[in-house]
Amino acid sequence: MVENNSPVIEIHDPALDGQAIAQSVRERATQRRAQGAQSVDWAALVPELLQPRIAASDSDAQADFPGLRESLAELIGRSHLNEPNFRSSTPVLGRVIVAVRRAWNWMSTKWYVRPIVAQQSDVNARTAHTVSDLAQWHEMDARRLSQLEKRLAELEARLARMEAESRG
Amino acid sequence: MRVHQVYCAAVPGDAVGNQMLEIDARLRAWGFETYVYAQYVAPALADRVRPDSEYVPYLYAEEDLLIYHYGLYTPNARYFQTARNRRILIYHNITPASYFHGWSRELELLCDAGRRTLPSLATCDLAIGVSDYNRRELVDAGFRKERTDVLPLFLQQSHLEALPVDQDLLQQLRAEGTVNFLTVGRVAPHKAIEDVIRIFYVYQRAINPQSRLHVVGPRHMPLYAAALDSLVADLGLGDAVRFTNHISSGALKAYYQAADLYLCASRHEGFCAPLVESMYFGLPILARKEAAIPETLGDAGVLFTRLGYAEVAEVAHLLVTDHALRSQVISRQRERLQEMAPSLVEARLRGILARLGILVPVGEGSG
Repeated sequence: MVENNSPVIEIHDPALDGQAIAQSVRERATQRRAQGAQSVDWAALVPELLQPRIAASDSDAQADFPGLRESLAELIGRSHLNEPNFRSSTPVLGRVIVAVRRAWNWMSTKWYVRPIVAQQSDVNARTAHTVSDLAQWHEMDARRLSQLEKRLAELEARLARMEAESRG
Repeated sequence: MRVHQVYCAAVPGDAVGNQMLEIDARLRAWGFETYVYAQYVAPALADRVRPDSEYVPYLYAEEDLLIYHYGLYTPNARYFQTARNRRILIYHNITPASYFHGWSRELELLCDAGRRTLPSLATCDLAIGVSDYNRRELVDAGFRKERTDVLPLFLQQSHLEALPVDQDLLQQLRAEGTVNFLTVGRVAPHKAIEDVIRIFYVYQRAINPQSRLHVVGPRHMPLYAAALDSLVADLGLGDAVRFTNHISSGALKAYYQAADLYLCASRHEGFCAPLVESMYFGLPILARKEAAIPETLGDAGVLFTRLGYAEVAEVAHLLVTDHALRSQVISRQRERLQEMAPSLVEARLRGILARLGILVPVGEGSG
């Protein structure tokens, strides 16, 4: 393991001697450790990176609902409604048709439709949010259940062994 | 002249929402006709913020100014992309999606979409970072450097002064007679609350058992919150670590006033408003040297570069007990606070508007 010798503490205030303070801190920490800060379980401080307590691999939760995460991503991604662009495949007249549709939309429908589209997007976003929360709770519960099942199986096996021993 | 500001969610106490309302107050005082919108508007702000759908009729008003606050992917980014107004983007930073992997699928998706959408917003007239760190991210995302600028967050000094403190809570916290460490913000993985807990654990076990850690902030992410609870239990910290979840502004003020040290281990911040609040409340700051944190602190506060737990806990102890060191750190923090005074931020806002040819008469009062 490579030892990192870069300073842990940095003080940039010109009114303070940052290096001296950092040095003093280092010495105090070493001293305290040597004097027996044994009530600290240093091993409990690694690994640094916190992982979800119940790892995904511990559970069959996702297998129970294949594609749930993908569906959620899709739901969030599609929650915002978009206005269609007017297009026409009709030769020559197509441009006129598009222009008329645009003009009509500009004149009348957009003032009414756009707020409704926005409202619906808002409802969709909130629905996606709620479903996502529920799914996460479900996932957590399913993982807990899976752990409990494993624990139950272990206890049953242990009980069976004890019964066999008492008979023998 | 009309000025529209749009954001994803207007929620009381949110740093971005606060900045939007602070800018609105200045613009209004300078004589502009102003409107503030959000996709989600909390009931408490319904009288000040409109649903973003109400902005739509102004999409093509070329003389209007649109200020879009961007801190998370929201469908209303499309308004900014298609608007014909003069357009300013204010980038509050988006947490890299990887921090949410395994913790919140939704946030992972939204942050990922937010960062992927950012380059498509580069056609605006001006892009502003709330820190230079954020401004540099904009340039990296393809924004033209000469069209970028920095506008720090307005410190809500008068608001903080006027807030009634929760006296019962303050008395209760002080009556316990413990040294109180404080960390404030959403309980989210990029804030590395686990590191705050571990540093506190070493301090509590090796240096001062009569101490508490208060983690003040909403616990929106059940998996992450559960993992932190397990960590607290595994380390045997029990009641010494307290999570508040949502609290009132008066309670937040009580926590700041009762605290002895502000501890921040965040791995990603675009500005970090609680640092500025801690400066205001005269609380010495010990923070991780990451992202925009060193920039917000300037040469104030104390930084740690990595998790040398024993040393970080030791310097925390010094900041609490060494009166000379503590006084100097607090004093320098107060000076730093003056460098971010609202009047200076206000002057920057005038300068930013001037870059678009929008002049505000000097001497015009602020909000």
